[in-house]
Amino acid sequence: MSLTGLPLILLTGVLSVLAAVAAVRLWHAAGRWRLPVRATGLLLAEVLVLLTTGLIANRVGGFYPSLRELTGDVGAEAEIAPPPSGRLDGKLAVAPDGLPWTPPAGPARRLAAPPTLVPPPGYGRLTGHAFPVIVALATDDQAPLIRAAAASVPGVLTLVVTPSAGAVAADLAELTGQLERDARTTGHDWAIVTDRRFAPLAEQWRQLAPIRFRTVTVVDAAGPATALDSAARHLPSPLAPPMMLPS
Amino acid sequence: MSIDSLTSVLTALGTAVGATALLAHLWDQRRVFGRILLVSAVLLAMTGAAALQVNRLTATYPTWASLLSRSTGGDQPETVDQPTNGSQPSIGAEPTASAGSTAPAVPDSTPRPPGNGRMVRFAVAGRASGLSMPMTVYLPSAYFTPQGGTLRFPVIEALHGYPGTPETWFRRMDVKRILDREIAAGRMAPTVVLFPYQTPDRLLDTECTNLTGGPQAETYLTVDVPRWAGEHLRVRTDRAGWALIGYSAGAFCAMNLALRHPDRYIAGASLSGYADPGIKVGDGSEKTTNNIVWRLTHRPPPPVSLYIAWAANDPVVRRASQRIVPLAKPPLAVTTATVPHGGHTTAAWQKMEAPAFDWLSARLARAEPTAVRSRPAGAAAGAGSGGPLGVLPTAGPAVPVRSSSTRPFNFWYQNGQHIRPADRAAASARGSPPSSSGSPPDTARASYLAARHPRPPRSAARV
Repeated sequence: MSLTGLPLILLTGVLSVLAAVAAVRLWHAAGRWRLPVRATGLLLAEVLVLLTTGLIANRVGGFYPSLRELTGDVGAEAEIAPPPSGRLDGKLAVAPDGLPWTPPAGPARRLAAPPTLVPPPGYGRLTGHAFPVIVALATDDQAPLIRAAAASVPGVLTLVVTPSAGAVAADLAELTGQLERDARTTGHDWAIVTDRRFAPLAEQWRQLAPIRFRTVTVVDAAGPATALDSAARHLPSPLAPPMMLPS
Repeated sequence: MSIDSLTSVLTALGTAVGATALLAHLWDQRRVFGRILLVSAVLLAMTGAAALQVNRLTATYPTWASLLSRSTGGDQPETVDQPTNGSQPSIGAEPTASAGSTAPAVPDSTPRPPGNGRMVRFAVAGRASGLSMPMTVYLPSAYFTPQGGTLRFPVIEALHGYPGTPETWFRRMDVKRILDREIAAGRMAPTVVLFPYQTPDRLLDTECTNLTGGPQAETYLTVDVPRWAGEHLRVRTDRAGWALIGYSAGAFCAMNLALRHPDRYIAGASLSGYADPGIKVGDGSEKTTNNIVWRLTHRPPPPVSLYIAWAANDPVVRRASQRIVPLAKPPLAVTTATVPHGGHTTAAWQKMEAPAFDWLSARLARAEPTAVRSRPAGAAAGAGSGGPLGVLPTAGPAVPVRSSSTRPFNFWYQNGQHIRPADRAAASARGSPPSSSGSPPDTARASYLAARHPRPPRSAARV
């Protein structure tokens, strides 16, 4: 039954008037029933007036559309999302220093060397957690340093990539989709850490996917470990599957 | 007997029934004056019972004492997590707190078991806004561990509806239990959650805006509260570590403030939020810069993330949400969630709050070592990179007051007058708020507010 509809408000309004009229008409009823008749009539009118007022307020605010809301039933319960999984989870769990990763064929042609996927410490232990990602764009000579530093960055998966000369952001965009299938990653708020040489490419990629990549950090004189640490501090923690509403 | 207990309402109803019986019994024995007294007693008792029930739903007046004042500044809620050592609660500023600050000691540093956070209440005096109001703070159990003592935590500002107070979060939405549970389960990272008031006058709806000639609520919430937290709590101070959440009017606030201050917040969660404030701000901005639809239509989208949840049978909010969502373009990210029923009630928000908190936590930056000051993530960082709120002047001591609870009930005011939802809905549909029906400026209120804010407050508004 709708609690915000006019019919119910009109019904209670009319009943209020009838109760008030009846109370007045029976006010001087004779005999020992006078007191109960008066009290009952008044109370009935009061309750109905109060009810009508409440229904009007409810219609104005749209608070309780039906009796169902009064019971607290909203027709849905939040549920825990299915745990994430990655096709390479087993291998990553036993590859603390990184795993050579096979990218899709398209982007692979634009890479100067095979990428490496470096899991964070505890990746194999936090089996239900999804991890944020740092994509590290590194030159050939920087890549080993980045891989070594990434292995000790907590709570972040690092993908070390060496783009070939002339690679553009669109060439690399496909990497992220396969990465999400291969490892337990979050799909958003990632970071790019880049060698100065690839900074324009990194910024181009961030602008191409501004929701996936929120920040770009350039490796400076302090070295790759500092840059990775700085980028990781701006990333969310790895988390267990969240509570979600069905829709 | 607390003001919002069922006993209070039943007592008032019982009084009404008694007064009615007395009226019926004494009517013939009394003349006009006596009869007027009896009728007045009945009306008073019935009105009182109704008012108490409405207050139970909104927690506008959380205590009997609060009835004596329209100001929210002196609210002393009853449910407080007092420190176990009997000392005054304090909050543990980071060791690197700037010189001259009071640098309160770590409170009751006994490690607490996981899933056992702590609610503490403080008075927050806002220097930029001139507002001074209480604020309850949820400190996760990790805050008190040896490892947590070296970390600065991410922050969520939780905003309440109108009329109402933060008490709704505590008593109706059971937020402490929800936060404890989500953090203990690993679905949320340990996070400090702030529950500020949004108005110094419980009968004045600010919608978290800087009212012209009135309270500078936006400045209080986006400048004073972050500054206070940065000075007195071990929290991150950069945008990557700050987010907003709210229900009903607070949901509009969460979206509006996140969109207006992307330099301070990385995300916002709206539980049944409107597209416009539904009040007159005083500068016409309810039609423009304080109107979410207008902003998304006329301004570049900011790099923030919004979680927008509503009940399918809450028509005004549903229409507002369905107008907002298609307007969101990258780098603004929007996630939606709905429940089939629930209307505009805490029943719906109770279902939404855990998913919303989890969602926010998945976007908030992690706790960082206190030795590190947040700064933009890199030289080539884009607009979305994190950054500190700035060097903040030191503040006076954190003043703890007794700490910690409602059902939604929303009225909308313009210069103290109600706005009909039909007007609000129509205004939302045409992208502007309803007119004030030609109501004249409330000069008495203006004088009152001028007396409360003798200095012109600095504005935090950004266009």
